[in-house]
Amino acid sequence: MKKSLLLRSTFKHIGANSLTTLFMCVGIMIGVAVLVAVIALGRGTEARILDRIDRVGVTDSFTIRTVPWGLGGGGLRDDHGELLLSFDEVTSLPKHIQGIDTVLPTLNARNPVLVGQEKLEDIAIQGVALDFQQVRNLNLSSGSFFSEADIQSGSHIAVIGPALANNFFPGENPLGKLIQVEDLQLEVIGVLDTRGISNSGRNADQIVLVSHEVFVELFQPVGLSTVTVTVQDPANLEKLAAETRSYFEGIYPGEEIFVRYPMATARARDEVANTLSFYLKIIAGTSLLIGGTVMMNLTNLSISGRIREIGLRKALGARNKDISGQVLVETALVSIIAGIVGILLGYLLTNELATRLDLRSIFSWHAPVIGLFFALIIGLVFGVRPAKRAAKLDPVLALRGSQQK
Amino acid sequence: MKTHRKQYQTILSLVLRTIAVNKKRCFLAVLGIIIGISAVTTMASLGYSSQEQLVYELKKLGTNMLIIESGIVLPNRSRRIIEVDTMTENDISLLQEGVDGINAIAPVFLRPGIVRTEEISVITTAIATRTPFLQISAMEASEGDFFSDEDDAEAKQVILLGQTVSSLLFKDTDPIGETVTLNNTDFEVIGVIEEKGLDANNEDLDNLVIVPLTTAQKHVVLGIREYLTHIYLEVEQAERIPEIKEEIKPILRAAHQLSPNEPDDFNIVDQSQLLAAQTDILGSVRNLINVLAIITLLGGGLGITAVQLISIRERIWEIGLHRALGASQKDIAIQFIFESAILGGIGGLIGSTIGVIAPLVIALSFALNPVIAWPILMLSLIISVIIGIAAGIYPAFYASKLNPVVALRS
Repeated sequence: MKKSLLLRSTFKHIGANSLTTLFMCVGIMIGVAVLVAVIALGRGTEARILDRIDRVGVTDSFTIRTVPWGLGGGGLRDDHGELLLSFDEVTSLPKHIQGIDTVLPTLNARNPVLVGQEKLEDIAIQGVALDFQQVRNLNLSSGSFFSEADIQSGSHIAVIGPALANNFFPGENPLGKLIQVEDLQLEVIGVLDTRGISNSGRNADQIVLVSHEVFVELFQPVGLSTVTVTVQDPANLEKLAAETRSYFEGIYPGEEIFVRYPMATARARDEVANTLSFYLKIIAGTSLLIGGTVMMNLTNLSISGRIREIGLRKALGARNKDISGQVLVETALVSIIAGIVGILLGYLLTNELATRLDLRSIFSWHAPVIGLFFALIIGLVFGVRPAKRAAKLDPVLALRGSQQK
Repeated sequence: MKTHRKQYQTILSLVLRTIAVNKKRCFLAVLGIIIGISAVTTMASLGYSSQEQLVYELKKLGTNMLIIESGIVLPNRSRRIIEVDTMTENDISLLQEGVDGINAIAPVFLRPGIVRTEEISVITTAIATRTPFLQISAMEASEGDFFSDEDDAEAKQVILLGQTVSSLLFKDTDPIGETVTLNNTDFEVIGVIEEKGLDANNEDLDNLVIVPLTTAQKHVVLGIREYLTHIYLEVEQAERIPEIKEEIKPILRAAHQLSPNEPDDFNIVDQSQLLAAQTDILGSVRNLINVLAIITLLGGGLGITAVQLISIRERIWEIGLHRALGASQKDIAIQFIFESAILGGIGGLIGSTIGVIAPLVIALSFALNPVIAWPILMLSLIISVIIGIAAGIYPAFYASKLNPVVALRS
């Protein structure tokens, strides 16, 4: 009974003092909206930057080999008596290890490539799976990559590096032309974008990509010595690489499995991630400061504008407890309602800015929850305390108005 | 003149008294301005510091690296088909003199080589170079040390091993001080290069050995003569790479005495994908900083405006009182402008001071390069002071036109 009276008087009050309440609402709305928008845009930018690094540095993949780097290998014939992993073991890897995204059995050979009489020696030939283009973030300068249908039908097609295209077909469109590897004629269906030269001085543009099936037809590999694995979250790369290694070492006791990943890039990615999360903390802190100040200022002012009214209520017989109870409920109610409106406002503001300025945004529950919590705390500290103090005043003094200190 | 000064003095003391009486309101107004300016500036400044930090971190991946390869690029041939011997260390001094913005430059002679111990031999990439190469390619020693300029000058037979070579030759034992043979010349292992792993093309970056160029030339280790296969450069600013590439060309063409109708006998390679990524990344950060500045200035500005709007209601009553006691419209306008200017000035001064000091302190304590976002500081200063003054002047003009009786009644 008493509670409903309190609530009713609160609502009546909010209606009556619409202007002062409005200012408090505005303060909380601005504060929360700023916080929500700033954090969403900050996190969005962080994710976008890390994605960009993953795309260029392939920091979401590691490679395992049965032969140490620097020695033979490449997944071809069993010349070195080397361990070969069976296709089944490799393709079932995602079922055994959590967090692995895709598995790319990589088949490599170095072989001459011919067009008519013209011959280039020692060209990298790679047998690739359907996901290869996506995982390796390859862009084509012309033509297209293998489709599922191409791969199933086992058509004799190839995607070639730009250096090969320039070499064999200078000034011509290489698409539809034929190149010869071993005794197979392959139709060129795509040309890769240039990838330049690697640190070790190898030209990454002198390459022929064929489907896994065509590679098998060309070179009859009996197993895999090289497998590239992509992970869902690049932050787990090192851990998953170690797990995969011990998984295979468990299958082949006594054998050594070698694992490598883009370590330099991963280190740089970690550093970038640290810098960004540091900056995110800074912007969260400063926006909280700004939002908090705005909330605090307006709550404080709107309360001090009502000291007269508190005096009036006291003069009419309200007890201190009633007054602080009413202010408490009112502040909490206004904080929550304004806070929710602020969250919506922040959401709309973020979407508007993100689409207009080509930014990414990520919403999470943190910012709204922190914002609401902050609004409540500030409401209670800067709203209820002065009201309590006013309630303790002599009604006559309070009635005299807001000029007193 | 004298009366004027006196009048201003009266108004000034009145203003100061008003401020003293309305401590809380004035404090909040000033606090709003202080927080507005300092927080926005701190956010933007540390954004710029973080951006510089990102540039520094990405540089380790080679964004600022240029590689000049020797060899004729014939129109119907892919790269480096025809080897030439025109590139020499003389080109390096010419480039250092003729091109601005080069941080470091290193001569490189790169060849496949065979490194062996008594038990094992490994095919690897052998690089003969001088000390700046290590900086340019961001290599660090994980064990032992790099060779020094003196080692190079004295043609010491010392060698650095990449991780791949080191683990193949020495497994888990310490390679430092061991002797290896590179193409029939003995070298002492003085360092192992920190593992870099794979590059984006899945190439092993650790399968290499590095020896001093002078040593390689003296012992003809790699079939080396006077010429170079590559020149490695690090530029100061990645943005200038296209420009620098254009500056390099005529210098090398002249040095190699090429006639205008002959093709280049070298090719300049940059890290185009990395550079594109860096441009994207820095663009995103810049965009973010700007948007954050807009949002926070907007929020802060609205906050300050709202505070001022609330106080206007109180002020109108006060103005009515002053008018009733005989103050002229002009007096009141001057009084309010004074007051706003004082509050705005104090807030702006403190806010800017904090806005300069806070990012400096934070940046230094987190080992970032301190940067101050002056334009944002100016912008936030102007905006908050304008809002402060406008909010002070508006009620003054509004109330000074009112009938004192009406104003007093409010």
